[in-house]
Amino acid sequence: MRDKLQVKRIDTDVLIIGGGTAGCYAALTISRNSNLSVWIAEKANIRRSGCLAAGVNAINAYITKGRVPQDYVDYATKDAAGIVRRDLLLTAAERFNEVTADMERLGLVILKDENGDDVTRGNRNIKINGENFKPILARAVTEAERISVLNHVNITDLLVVDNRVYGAVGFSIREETVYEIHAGAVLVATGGAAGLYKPNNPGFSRHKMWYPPFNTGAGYAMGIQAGAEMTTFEMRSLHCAVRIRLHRPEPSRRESVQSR
Amino acid sequence: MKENQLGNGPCYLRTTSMTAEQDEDLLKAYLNMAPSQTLKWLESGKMPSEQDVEIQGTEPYIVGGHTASGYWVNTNRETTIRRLYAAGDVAGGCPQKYVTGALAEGEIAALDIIRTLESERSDSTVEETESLLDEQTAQILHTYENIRNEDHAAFSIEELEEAMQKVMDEYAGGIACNYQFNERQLKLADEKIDQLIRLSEQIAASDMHELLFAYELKERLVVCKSVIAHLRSRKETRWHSFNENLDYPDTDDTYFKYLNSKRIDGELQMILRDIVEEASYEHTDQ
Ligand SMILES: Cc1cc2nc3c(=O)[nH]c(=O)nc-3n(C[C@H](O)[C@H](O)[C@H](O)COP(=O)(O)OP(=O)(O)OC[C@H]3O[C@@H](n4cnc5c(N)ncnc54)[C@H](O)[C@@H]3O)c2cc1C
Ligand SMILES: Cc1cc2nc3c(=O)[nH]c(=O)nc-3n(C[C@H](O)[C@H](O)[C@H](O)COP(=O)(O)OP(=O)(O)OC[C@H]3O[C@@H](n4cnc5c(N)ncnc54)[C@H](O)[C@@H]3O)c2cc1C
Repeated sequence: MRDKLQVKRIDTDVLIIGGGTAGCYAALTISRNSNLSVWIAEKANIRRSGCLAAGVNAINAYITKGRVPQDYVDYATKDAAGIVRRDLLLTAAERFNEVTADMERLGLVILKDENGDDVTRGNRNIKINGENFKPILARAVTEAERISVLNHVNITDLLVVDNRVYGAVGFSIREETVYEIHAGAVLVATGGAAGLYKPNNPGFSRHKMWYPPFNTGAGYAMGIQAGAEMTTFEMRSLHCAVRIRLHRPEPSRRESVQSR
Repeated sequence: MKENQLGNGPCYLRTTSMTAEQDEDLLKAYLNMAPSQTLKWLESGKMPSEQDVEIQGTEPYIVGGHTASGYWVNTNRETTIRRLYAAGDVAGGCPQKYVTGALAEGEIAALDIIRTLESERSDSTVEETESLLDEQTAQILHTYENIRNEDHAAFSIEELEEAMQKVMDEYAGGIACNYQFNERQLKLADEKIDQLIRLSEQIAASDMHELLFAYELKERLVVCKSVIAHLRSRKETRWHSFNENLDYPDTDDTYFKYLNSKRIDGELQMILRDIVEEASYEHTDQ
């Protein structure tokens, strides 16, 4: 028998599972607008975790000059052959530009043309220098009040009684410690799921996939197991990736992406 | 991708018509998104303008920031479990929200959490609930310890992960079958994933890092079950070329609905819901 895991209990107003894009920004919003205490539990380190780890080069969802949020809703609805929630699309689209402006204030570089206008790429898209998007967001979180961050803590299960959440449980990847976190409200922001299907690249390169290989669907799984209702898993996401032929050591290797 | 399926592949992105300036822009764009690609171009000494770039479809992912998969939420991003919220790629119903959508949903959920907790902050947990929570925590801890102390594991985590990915690839519409599937294959996929779930109950982890890998496998298997159940239940083809249901190759109006699922007593129940037309949606039947 090994030594038993040590259990640490934390009590907080809000627990955020996953300190990625959505999780960090939610923490920041709570810090700016209330006195509530927030804990973020992140399996990696919020500085470079999740989809923004390597950076992004554009804001794909943006309301460009002369367009309105409803145009975005109509576009996304048509593209998904109608299987969307227009209430969700509209409430998100109404905030696209405002959250971009906020990121710019925090230090993100939004490219401008000679007139000082955003550099657009099509009707819904603007160009940015986004390599450091995540470090900028993470720094704002670190500097904000009443937010505590648990890096290298992987959450596995929600605590749910009578269809209400009371917290979650996970463990440290570095120490033999279990975290039992009790909270008044919980936000899941663990991203999507990669690695369900056989990846394109074999062997040692199998993690060279488009989506972050560490986003393994934990948030979906804990919700499914706790009896949460889920939608539209049959609409899978595929991408075009550049294929590069190497002479050695692997037969082929590919990097990301053109998102849609 | 369609061209590849029709046997017209391989497909190339025409980059050789680009100028040197465009070359540099592309290198920069990739440096901001996938730096190793830029390094590859530089390393090979051939810029994109000198060599068309071969493109290919990736394996399927489940990503709510691009498609509509994920938690079924109300307009404030609360899930069907009270006080549990979801935002970003894990939340469903709102495709193509990308990075700004993840930020926006984080903000929307945060504002509703503040509203809820500030109005009902002082509701203390009843004793009965406390003891149920203690039981759940003990059960979770027990599972961790079992994995750490397992010494009769027949298969490694990696072997099971590879088997899972192969099942999904070959029976649930992966690259091997050009993203196409039929009912017979999906039924087999479901049975094989069930077998792997049983085998995954006996995996071993020698340290905390391996315990993480054990959980990554377990959660992927849970998600695979749901993906298969959803693919089986939408008896039509709504999104051509990357989701072809060979038994039902056409779009069918009776499936102009959301397909949802929920685990009740260990079994996934499928729910068809009408398209929401209202500006605001609240859960009413949970
Ligand atoms: C390669 C790539 C390029 C992209 N390019 C663009 C672009 O140019 N423009 C654009 O607008 N969008 C782009 N996107 C999309 C956009 O980046 C994502 O939609 C968005 O960032 C998702 O945010 P999220 O918070 O949901 O997920 P993430 O930011 O991935 O956050 C999820 C977090 O949860 C953590 N986590 C996971 N499981 C657990 C667990 N069990 N316990 C604790 N923590 C956990 C992860 O480590 C991660 O930090 C791109 C995405 C990718 C993958
Ligand atoms: C596509 C991609 C591109 C990246 N590009 C850069 C870059 O250009 N510059 C940069 O500074 N960093 C980048 N990162 C992040 C960097 O790789 C990790 O933050 C770093 O390896 C973590 O090291 P560690 O010692 O903390 O964890 P490790 O000890 O290496 O890992 C421990 C375990 O934690 C989990 N884990 C580790 N890293 C992550 C992560 N990022 N997200 C979720 N889980 C994780 C994994 O399961 C891993 O096995 C990138 C990450 C990804 C996914």
